Amino acid sequence: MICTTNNPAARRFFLRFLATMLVYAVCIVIAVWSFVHNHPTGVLAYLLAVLPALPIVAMLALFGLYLSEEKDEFQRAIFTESMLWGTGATLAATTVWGFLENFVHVPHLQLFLVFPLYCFFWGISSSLVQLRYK
Amino acid sequence: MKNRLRVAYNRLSPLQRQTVNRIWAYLIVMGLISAADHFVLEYGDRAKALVVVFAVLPAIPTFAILIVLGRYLVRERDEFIRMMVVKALLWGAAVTVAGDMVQSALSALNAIFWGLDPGSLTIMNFDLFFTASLFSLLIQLRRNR
Repeated sequence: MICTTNNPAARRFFLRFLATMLVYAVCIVIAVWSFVHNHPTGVLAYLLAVLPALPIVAMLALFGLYLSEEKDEFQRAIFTESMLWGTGATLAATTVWGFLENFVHVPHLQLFLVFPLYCFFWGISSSLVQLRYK
Repeated sequence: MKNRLRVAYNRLSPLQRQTVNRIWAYLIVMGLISAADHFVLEYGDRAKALVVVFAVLPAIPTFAILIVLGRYLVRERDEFIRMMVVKALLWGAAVTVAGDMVQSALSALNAIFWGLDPGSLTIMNFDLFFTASLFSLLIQLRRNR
């Protein structure tokens, strides 16, 4: 487990990531609750729509922070490679799905699912890249 | 403007120039595939297998561009430049994902967003990622001039 690792940069990254995930969950609950119960309009509605996006930007900033704090060049390379594969897979999947939506009318992919999809692909590619170097 | 672009291009290392050329080539391929997609799927035979093949085709240059970038990162010796490129890619991903979140919340509000249909917005993820990464790289280059 990354939380029991001796690498201080990885441990810090994991703890920060958990904290940001918690903030993200709280923001989602606030936004959904407000839209369902208060039906906000105008600027407030836009602000509430932006609210869950902020922790996501923070999470991606954490990736950058980890890369600048990580001293082990090999670990940095693995992280960057898996991030690139995750991005590639996400962009490829959304592009394919977008064309299918336009022409075969498959169910609409809610765009808030793009970040979980990115995390999913990033997790898989991270495991595969680490396995390759084992 | 054209001169400035040429000077900037000539200042690039051979590896950077090779990477830029490859990215341009794949972007052109992607544009051609997208145009062919629209033409075939809008006016041509819309058999299910053909639709799936034409939906998968644009993903190939998308992957190819990211592989080119990955190879560039592996071969780039200058750690500072490598870090700038990685940061730019992270910013690109951040802008794309954040943009998707906002758009998703706005669509829940039933707000019409740019008059595009949902499928087109999903396809635009790559364009958003690429543009945001490019701008981020340019800003970093300017800041560290």
